Amino acid sequence: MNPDKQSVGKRNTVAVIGAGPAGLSAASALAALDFEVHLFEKESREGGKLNQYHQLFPARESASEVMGELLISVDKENIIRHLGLGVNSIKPSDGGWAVHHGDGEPIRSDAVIVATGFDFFDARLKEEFGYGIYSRVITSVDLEKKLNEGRETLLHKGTDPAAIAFVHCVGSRDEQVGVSYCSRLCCITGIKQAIEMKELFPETKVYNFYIDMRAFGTGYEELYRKAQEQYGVRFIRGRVSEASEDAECRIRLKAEDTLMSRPLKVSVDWLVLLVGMRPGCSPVQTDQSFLGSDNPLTGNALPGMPGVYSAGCCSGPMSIPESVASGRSAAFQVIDHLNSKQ
Amino acid sequence: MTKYWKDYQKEIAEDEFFYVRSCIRQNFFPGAENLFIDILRNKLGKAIFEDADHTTCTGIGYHSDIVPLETIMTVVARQFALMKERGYKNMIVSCVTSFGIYSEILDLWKHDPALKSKIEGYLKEATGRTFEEPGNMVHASDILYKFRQEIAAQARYRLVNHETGQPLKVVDHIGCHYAKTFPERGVGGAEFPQVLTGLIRAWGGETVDYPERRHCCGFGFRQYILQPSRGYSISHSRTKLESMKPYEPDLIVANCPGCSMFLDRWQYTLEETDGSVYGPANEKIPVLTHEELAGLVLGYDPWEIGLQTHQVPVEGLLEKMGIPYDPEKKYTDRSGRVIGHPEKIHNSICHESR
Amino acid sequence: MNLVSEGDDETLIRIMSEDTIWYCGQCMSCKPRCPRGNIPGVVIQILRMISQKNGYFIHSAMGRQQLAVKRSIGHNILETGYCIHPTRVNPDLHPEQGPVWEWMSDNAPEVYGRFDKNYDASGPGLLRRISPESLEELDRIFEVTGCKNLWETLETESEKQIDGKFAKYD
Repeated sequence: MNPDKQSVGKRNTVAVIGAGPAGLSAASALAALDFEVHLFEKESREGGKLNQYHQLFPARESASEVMGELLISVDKENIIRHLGLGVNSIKPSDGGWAVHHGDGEPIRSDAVIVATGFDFFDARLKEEFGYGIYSRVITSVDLEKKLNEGRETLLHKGTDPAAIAFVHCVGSRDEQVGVSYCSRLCCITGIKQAIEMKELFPETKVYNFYIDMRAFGTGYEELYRKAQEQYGVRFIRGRVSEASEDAECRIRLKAEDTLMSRPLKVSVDWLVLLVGMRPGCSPVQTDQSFLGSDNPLTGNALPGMPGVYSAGCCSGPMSIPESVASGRSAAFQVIDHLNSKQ
Repeated sequence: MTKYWKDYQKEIAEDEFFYVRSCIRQNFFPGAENLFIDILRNKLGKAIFEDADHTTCTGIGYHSDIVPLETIMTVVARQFALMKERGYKNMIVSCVTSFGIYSEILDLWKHDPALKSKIEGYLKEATGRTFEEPGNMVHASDILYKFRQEIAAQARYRLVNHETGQPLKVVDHIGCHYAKTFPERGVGGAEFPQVLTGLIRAWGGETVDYPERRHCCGFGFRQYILQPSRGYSISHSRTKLESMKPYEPDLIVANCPGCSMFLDRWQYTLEETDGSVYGPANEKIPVLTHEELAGLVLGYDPWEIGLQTHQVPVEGLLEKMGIPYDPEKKYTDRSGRVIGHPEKIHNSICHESR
Repeated sequence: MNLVSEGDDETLIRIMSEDTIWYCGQCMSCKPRCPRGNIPGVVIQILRMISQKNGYFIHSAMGRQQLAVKRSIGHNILETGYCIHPTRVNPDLHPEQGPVWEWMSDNAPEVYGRFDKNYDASGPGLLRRISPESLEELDRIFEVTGCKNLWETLETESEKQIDGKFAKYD
């Protein structure tokens, strides 16, 4: 698979926009095959959303360890990292692409991989849950941060929480907020975090309110089973209609239990909203939508942009392993593209 | 830039209003609407007109399922026709159910112009009239919200305990049909409507956020109308009252006439049933409509604006606010002659003995 | 919602013949919350109308109560131009309204008259007497738009018994 340096000429340059798991994997793969890689990252450090996580599903790997591995893989002399530098746009240039960033002359590259990732759904838009209004309503992302900070961040006046509830599908599968798709990874996140709560607070009641349990991946269904059998997490199939705060600042939920065909009300100490994955901003489009592909079933080429490929969550919700695989796949497609141009 | 419903403001007209009255508000809060008209004309200098030929919108009939959609649409079209004939474009609706219905009908006509034509035909056939949609259609509480600072500037009393200086704790209750059906029709949207919160804060009070704040008062239309299902109605109000009790509210204000009526009456009934009382110091919680709240703040006489028609006595609140009142004038007619007294008011602090 | 979208008429007719559709209080709290953008409260309105128009309502106790709604609210509308009127909310039938209501109802002209000289009179004002011409227009609207037909159906269907009983659960 090594590109013949003779056939592709002097080292080709590829720009990778975004240094999250997908971008890092793409950069690493390209660098291993002797490409010069310009890796752009608008934040001051690499890693993307991986920096916000505590442990990953389903096997509870440490996010920071996985981060470490990915970083080592890009520690190569032919990867030039541009940290804290966002890309504004890319324009066709001389058979390749000119990457316009915020700091000086555009960098010309033979191909581009867009790995700009996603945004989490803004939970304040789901008004009825009171995120941003009630202090004990947090998102799954907030919870990962608290898990990184330590158990004490979940105590109230030194006491263990008596009950914690998770709400699935916040900002996914919901016409009220204009997001009709499923974000794929929130269910397994909810299962994982429920288990993490039970591990920290074995006596605490943990409720997960779901519509469907989408535990599709390898090891996911098993983790779901484990959450029920080993940890006693109560999974309730039904929507939470609203959350409000009582006089002790606990959160009161109104929900429906469709398995028991009845409404229910429960007070909890933390309400965790499993927020969906929304398209992020990327320099190749003006609106915020997931990037499409010229050949969706078999490749990641962006329509109408020869030599530009997407990798990772900028084209749809993906897990870490899926993003990594997507990055490597995009790298291969770049190589294939450049080879065929000869 | 992301927009949140909480911050949503809607367009509310400035002047030249066509006012349509509310069946329930006229029946159960007979002082309220003329007070509203007086505030608009004499405190805010606005033009507000009432057409003597307007009728009920038939909303209660519609929501209790005995008035079909096309009938209510044609009745509403007639109201719009009267408005057009009088040369007005801005409508103020006193009832919240009506407001919901006007919103629903305007929305349906927008999506289905053929339906609107059909109604034009019906109205013409039945009455010979033609109509135009209002340029602006808002609820009466929206108007007070819009001019809350002007009212605050003229306030003689504030929503403050005049002895302790503490703001009064006010529960605001928004009628379901104000914003739940069309959030874009309500100031602040469906979940955290701001129309009454704005008034309360502008006039010195503090709002209470309690768990059942967004819950329906339980009118239920047919559920209240029919005696066998009246329990539905009372149990929802009870859920709300129980939920607000720990916060010790001084006052409840509601913009829907039905809600005001139920939260007022059901406190009496619940006390009769099992002795439950939900206000601080074992008193019931006075319930006011938005115009009554404005009236008290502006210094109108409590009995002239009809507070004696409430089942929960308001004297405790008047004293907290430092508003003087004459017990002798409570149950009198226009000329000052005492008409008689309501019998047996249980357990309420009745200050007539002073 | 599923039944309605599946078009399972047989089951729908059964449901429209039971108490089920009559429990809803029409608060529309369902509308801002449904993630599919449905409005169960409105679907229930439609089912109730079909139930009444087709006579299914007579098969349940709660359905049969619609006749009472028609004869109270319905008649109020055409006879007074209001859904509710102080002369038609009998305190004996509404003890929950409390003693203040009883006083208001017993002394209506004086109580209401205090707030508006024009109470129950012609011209604008509190609970003005709505003109005969306006009432006639309402009446014709109710005729032309089919409401009178609905009311006729409510009356005639309610006369019917089922297996010698008036309600399924006698």
